[in-house]
Amino acid sequence: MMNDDSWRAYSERLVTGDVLAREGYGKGLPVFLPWGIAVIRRLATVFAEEFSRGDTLSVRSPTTLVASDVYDRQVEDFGGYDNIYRVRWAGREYVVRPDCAVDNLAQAMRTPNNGRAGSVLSVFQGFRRLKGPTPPLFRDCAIWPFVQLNRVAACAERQQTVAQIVGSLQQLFHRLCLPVRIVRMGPWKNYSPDLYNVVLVTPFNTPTIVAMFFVVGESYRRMAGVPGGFDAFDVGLTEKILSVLLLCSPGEDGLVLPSSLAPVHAVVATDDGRVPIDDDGSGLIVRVEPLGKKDWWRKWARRGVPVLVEHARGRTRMKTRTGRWREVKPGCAVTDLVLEADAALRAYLAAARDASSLFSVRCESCARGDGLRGEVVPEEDGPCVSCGGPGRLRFITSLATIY
Amino acid sequence: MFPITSSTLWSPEPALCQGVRATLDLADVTEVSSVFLLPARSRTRTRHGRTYEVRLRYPVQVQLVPDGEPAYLRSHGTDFHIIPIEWLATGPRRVYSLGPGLRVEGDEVLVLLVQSIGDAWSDKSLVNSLKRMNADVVTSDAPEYGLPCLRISAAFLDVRYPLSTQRTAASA
Repeated sequence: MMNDDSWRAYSERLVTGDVLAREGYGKGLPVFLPWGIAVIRRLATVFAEEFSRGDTLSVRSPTTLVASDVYDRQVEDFGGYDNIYRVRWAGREYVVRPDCAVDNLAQAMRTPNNGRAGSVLSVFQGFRRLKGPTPPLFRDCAIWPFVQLNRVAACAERQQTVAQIVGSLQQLFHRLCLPVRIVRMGPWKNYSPDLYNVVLVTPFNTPTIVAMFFVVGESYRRMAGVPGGFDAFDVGLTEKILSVLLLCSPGEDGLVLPSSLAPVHAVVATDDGRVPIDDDGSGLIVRVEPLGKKDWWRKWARRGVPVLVEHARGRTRMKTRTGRWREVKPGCAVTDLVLEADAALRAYLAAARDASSLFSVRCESCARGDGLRGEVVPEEDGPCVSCGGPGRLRFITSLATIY
Repeated sequence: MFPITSSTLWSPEPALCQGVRATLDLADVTEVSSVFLLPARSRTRTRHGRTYEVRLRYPVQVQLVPDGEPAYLRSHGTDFHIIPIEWLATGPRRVYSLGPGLRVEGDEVLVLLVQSIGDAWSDKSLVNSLKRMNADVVTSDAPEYGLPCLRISAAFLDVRYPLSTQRTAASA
């Protein structure tokens, strides 16, 4: 388990990485600086890109204040979210938006896509009234970005829609270099008959949820005006992705970013003005600077730039994710170096996942027990590691909850 | 599948935001994220031997329910303060945030808040640029931390929330 000091040390890395201002606006109210804002924008963009393949998304920016009576009606069936902010202003009571599934689903019904109901994406700031000492990005009151996609599809297409969402999530997390597994957990309250958690195993061998999706339950669906014969889906993630990347960054300083989130993909420091790598028309963002101090790379490494190249005295070398330098052939394509950096990050985290006992092939009977259980999707079948009978890859932990 | 590049960057934000940011970048103002709700807390800090009350705030004050604690909601007007005193030593001193904010009329629109502490800075060209974007612009030069302070608040009346304007292109 991590103690408060180590949480604080991780949080400090966000400051040295120019993601957050050292002083925020209060507990749980971090302030992002331009580098961090650029990373967050890319997170929303990658999400939108992956979920708009083969589908057209409507984009909706919601209000931040929601009239209390409207919110209470929306959530009365499942009890609502914990710890919301309620405020009184100009004689009315409001909730500071914790979620926007109902509004998105209602819009999805109003914006047909090729004759069918469609998908609506919102990127907004959500609020939860949390107390406690946890530092920024691990438990925030102001959650930004809150990226939420809601989709309406005919019940007859449920299997196909779930497969599409799973496929989009797999592509998304591949680009984020986070080797996750998607786990079907079963019903959650009466909000959902089927909850899917996107689970990552950190290098500390702890499971953590980096995204979720739900098949939305009947009463909530009805509240949004989704008629019988249609399913509603709710998919979302938050800035937790950044805190997870921070926890998963090898080394002790700063942050490691996948190229999909990095505002700059490569920095080249050169002592003779030559740029020794080939910017092969990829459109990647390469920054070239004169070689100055010996540790010129440190500022960029802390910010998580994937590729750092030094050209000095006719010799070209690249700093790898493990912190070592390695020679680079002159004219090497920047695309190849960026892909190599991404692959190294993925491999580092995949090693943690594969060494963990949290995922194993078991039959239904050997998988029973206390704690959380779920089937990995898409299904992977094999012999049960306990009894040798027909089994399936499952997530099994003795923990009662994971976050 | 390849990484996003600057030329392909898609944004879920209202299109106007890009123009506003470009204008602020030209004026060398640092963006900070916009935070919609601030608890109304004040603290005292000493700087150069003088004690100052630090009270980060927005123009609209509300009460939290049920405990009645005061809080501020991001809103249009010049009575705001978004630079903690600690930033004077190591952080940005000329900042802006862009995001949803309230108007006294009760609606939610795109609001820009700009604050600059400590240097002489003319706001005329920036204010004119913002007005050309159909913004209601108000300014103030009330000092903060004993230093000169310029505040600009701009409400973009063409960007009202909820906003449903964009559709991403479907790709094969």
